[in-house]
Amino acid sequence: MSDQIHFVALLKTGDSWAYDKLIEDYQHMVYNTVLGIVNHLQDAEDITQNVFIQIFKSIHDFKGDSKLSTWIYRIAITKSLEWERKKKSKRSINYFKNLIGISTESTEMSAFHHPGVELQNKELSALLFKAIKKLPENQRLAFVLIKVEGLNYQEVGEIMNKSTKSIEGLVLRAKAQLKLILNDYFTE
Amino acid sequence: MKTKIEQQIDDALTSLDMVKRAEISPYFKTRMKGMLTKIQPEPAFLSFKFTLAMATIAIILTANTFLLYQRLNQNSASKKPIHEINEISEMYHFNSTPVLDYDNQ
Repeated sequence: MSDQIHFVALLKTGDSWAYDKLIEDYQHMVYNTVLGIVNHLQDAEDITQNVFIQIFKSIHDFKGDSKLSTWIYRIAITKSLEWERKKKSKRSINYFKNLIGISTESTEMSAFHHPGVELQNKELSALLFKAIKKLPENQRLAFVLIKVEGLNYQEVGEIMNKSTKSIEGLVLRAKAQLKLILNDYFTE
Repeated sequence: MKTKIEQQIDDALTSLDMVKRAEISPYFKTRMKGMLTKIQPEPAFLSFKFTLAMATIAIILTANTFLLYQRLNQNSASKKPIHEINEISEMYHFNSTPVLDYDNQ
């Protein structure tokens, strides 16, 4: 913890070595979290960039009440959800443009193939990601952080400001919901 | 015994169990460093700018209300009391019966 205090103090002074280390240590964590939420390789990289800019701008707000990684996860999640909302409204506008014939841009989401999934699981995981998108926000975040990012219930609870019990509940409900959605996909 | 669909659902749900971390572009760090040198961190006091603005508005409103209240008090204090006005009106017969009040004659 004292290492973290010292490291954050260096970040607050704008120390370039500290920022190098921050990017080196957290780039994959941020990228994978964002990718798990937005399901788009290029967008995930752009959002990761925004996350580090946000960290740089608001490091003075970090009080040290939580772990630095928890704080970074929260920024990554917030930025990803903001991006999703923008993308959603853009898709709705395109949908209406298509309806009245002033645009031919596709409003359909293409299947997402996570680069870390083994070849034999590619199609199934693409279906799973499609189903995850349909979950309520809290269930989706808890499921992604546990399944894709490999965090435990306690860590996810700290990130989402919830108890371990409620995270367990969210994941259970997410799994039940996913079974129903996947059942529809396989019976179609 | 699981049906084929149940098995497919289970396989889909476990398809992320062995997921490896996705690798970000190897140039990301260099690009990021270049970007961070161009921007400046927000000074700490700016993070309080909303609170500061709200506090300033509250102080201005309180000061205005206080001044207005004082001004109103001053005005009412400078007004002559009613009994003084009555005395003056009696002195000059402003409230006496009109001369051409035929009904009361």
